[in-house]
Amino acid sequence: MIRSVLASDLAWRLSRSPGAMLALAVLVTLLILSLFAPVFAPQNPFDLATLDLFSGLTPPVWREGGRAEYFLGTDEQGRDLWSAILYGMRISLAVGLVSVVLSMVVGVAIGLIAGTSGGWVDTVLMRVADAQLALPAILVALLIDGAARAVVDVAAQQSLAIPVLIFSIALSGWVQYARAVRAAAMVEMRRDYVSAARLLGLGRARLLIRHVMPNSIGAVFVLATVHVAAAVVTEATLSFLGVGMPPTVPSLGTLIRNGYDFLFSGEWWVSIFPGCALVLLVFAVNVLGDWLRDTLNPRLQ
Amino acid sequence: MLELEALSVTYPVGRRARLAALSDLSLKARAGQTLAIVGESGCGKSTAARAVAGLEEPSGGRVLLDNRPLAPAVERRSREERQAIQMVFQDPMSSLNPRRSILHTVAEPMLEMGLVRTLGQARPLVEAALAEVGLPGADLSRYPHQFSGGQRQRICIARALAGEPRLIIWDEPTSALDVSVQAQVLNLIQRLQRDRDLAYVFISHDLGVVDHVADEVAVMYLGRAVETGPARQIMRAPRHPYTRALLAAIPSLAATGSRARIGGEVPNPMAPPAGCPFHPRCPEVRPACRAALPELRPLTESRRVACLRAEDLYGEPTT
Amino acid sequence: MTPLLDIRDLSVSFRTRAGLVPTLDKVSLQLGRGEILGLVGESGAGKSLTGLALTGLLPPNAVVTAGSVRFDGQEVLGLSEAALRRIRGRRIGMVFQDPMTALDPLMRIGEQLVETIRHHLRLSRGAALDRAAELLDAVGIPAARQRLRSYPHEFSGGMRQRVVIALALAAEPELIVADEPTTALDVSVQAQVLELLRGLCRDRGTAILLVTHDMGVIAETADRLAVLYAGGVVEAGPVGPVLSEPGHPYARGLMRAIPQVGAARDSLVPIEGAMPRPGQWPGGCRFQPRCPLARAACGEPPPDVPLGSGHVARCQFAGVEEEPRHARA
Repeated sequence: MIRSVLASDLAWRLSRSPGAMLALAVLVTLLILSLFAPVFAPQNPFDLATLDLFSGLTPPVWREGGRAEYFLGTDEQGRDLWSAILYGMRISLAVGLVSVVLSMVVGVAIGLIAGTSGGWVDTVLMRVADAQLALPAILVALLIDGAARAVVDVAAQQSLAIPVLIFSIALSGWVQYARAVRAAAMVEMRRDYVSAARLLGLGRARLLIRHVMPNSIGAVFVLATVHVAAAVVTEATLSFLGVGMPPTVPSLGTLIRNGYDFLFSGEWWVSIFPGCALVLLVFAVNVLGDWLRDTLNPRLQ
Repeated sequence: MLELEALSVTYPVGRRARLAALSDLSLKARAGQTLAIVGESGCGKSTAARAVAGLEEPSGGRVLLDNRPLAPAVERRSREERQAIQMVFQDPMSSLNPRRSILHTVAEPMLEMGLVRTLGQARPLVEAALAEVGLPGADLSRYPHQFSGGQRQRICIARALAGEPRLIIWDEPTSALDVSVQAQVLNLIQRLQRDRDLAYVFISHDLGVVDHVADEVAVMYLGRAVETGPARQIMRAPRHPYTRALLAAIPSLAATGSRARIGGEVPNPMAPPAGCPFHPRCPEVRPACRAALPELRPLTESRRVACLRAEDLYGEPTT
Repeated sequence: MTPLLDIRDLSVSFRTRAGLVPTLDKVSLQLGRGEILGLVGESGAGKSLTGLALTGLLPPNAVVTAGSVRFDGQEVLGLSEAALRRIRGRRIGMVFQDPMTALDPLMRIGEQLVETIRHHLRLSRGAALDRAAELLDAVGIPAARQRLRSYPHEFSGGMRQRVVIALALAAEPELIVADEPTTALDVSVQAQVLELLRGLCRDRGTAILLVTHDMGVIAETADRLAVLYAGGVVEAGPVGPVLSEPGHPYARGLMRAIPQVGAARDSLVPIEGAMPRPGQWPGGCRFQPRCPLARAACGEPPPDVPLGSGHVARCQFAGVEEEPRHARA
């Protein structure tokens, strides 16, 4: 009941904000396109057998030499860019979402423990968080990637690329969730319903999960929206630097990196179109995240 | 049934200092009776309530239930001990989890205390508990924000009853309510006591409310009891100058015009005055009051007063 | 003589998703110079809203739909923000429940007083400082001169409220709107602050609109009172007659619902139910769903029945003895 009330109220407010409506429409379109990429893409860009090397570096359809089956042109291997972008966005979004969920779970758990324990536990956890914050995500990813390369043999590196990428992005994100949840949990712990639950002898775990957590994680979802955009950008950056997704499983970042070599030799489309897709995706998510934050923050109303 | 023995609570303030929120409180509560603890803000009345409930760990003294000492923290008390004592808080909004329906809220004590095993078994009991507190036929799937302040406090009372306690601690249960609703809830509280022979510890700053519900009263000032005894006697013939001052300060509906009042305010509890804590505001102060802390001593068989001048002020003590 | 404050048929609605929701309905109040008018009601009855309307401080989603507010003969509703500012603070002072919200925690109270005084009156810094000390002295703060250098947190709750009253007095206003000025204070301190307000009224001829939920505070302090219920005045008149012989069933119910020291133990008779919120008002008399006297005729808007010496109750059965309904807890 409360959820449907909240949902209808959110929908009502959304209908009064054209910017947020547009962002939502763009995002939903992109999500559907990438989720059902096999349906919308004429080609499977990962299947090397379908690639035609002779069609390499075909320009977009509206330019001289463009061909109708390659709407946005192709890259140097003859990969259809439109298909590559759809599949690449799928990977970018998957890496972004999974790493955000991971950092959210870790951050919420640490924040709850810190906020409800107090004392030295709280101090130690928050110092760790401070230390973590001093290391930028890119640096952490480069370090982990370097370490992984040194330890693991070449064959395993390919299969480890995605987990390493997700882990290093998640590692830099949990601090903000932990801080937000810790602050909220400290407020909730002082409320009398927590005292009432303690009087029943509820164990600490059940007290936290049943009573404190549901009332402390509101801010987390807003944070997460904005973080998905940030994670997609981080993933693209890492892939662009060559420590992210391998060229055989290209994400948006890998595609931009691939095209970079041709950017100044006239074949600009190989880099620019994946770049546009990335900007559109991140922009839509950010606009929506900002709107959510403003709408759900009672202090701004 | 319940006994507080020299109960003390201190809080750390900063690195070194400790604040004595409650000092040497000794009281008794009996089944079917109400022990009221009254005083102004910062007198330690809520701290006393929370220490009895086990939400606050005392730094000294102990709480006895049926002559057996209770563990200081509620988490270390046995299920029977936890079941015996429930509490109702001042702000009904803050004492209900906003994200749990009233079915879950009221059923929780029944499940925790092992009175029922499933939510389905609890449902008819929850309905009965809500009917008993004056919310018959309430929609169990609704959430706290869908109820008015008075209804929310009734839900809190239903939750407190759900575990079938023998003692309920009421921490200012009607101060957040409007006058017309306050009377409804006060009458409900009294009816429940009669029906179930419950022992009450009733915390309040409102002497009018206390006079309505209390059998025994403890008046507190700066963490110490200054006067204890039967409610009727204390409200009609107070022996401590502070109790008198409190009674005189209540705005009366009948009379207009000025009455005897005390000046000043409650001192900073971090730096309580030497001697009797009330002496800087006391109209009857003598040099001896500044020298030593007056102990809470028996005046008659049932009354105790912490004032050096208890005998020579205000005529002969009545019994 | 025209009253200092004359509110006639003031109606205020709130803009919401469901459209305009009436929240104040035809409230009329008069307040003379040097008089204390108590405005009493439960939370949500509209008492604070009335205070805000006459100082032009209504929330942005509130609309005045009808009525007039005249202050010293001048219409206040519809005045420009600049014109309102000339009245607010200078001719109408304000005291709110929580003294901390009215004080800047980072500023010495002397500076706050001097700033306010110089904003309203053309005085030199030195003269303003003298006046600040006088004001603190007038509200009963000992060693006023030295205390000017203190910060708000160095004062106790009661002393802070005195400082707020001194701030409200800075420009010698003709009217003070005091919204629950003693609710956050302990009983013993509450009595001191009420006595201060009464003294101001007596010595300076300041009129006070005392907004509170506490009948006891009104009984102690006010000359006249108005009882608000669900956005309307249901009873008004001199404090003595209204409290001793309330005419409206709601006012009568309230008097029996207040626990008093020394009263018989089973004497508490609650009013059943709760006050309807704005948007859920019944037609006709808005008290009728809870009223022991309710009849079919109560579906019509109730008349104002005069009960002598300015005492008025908005109920067709005003003054009629009721048959007590059986009390149910």
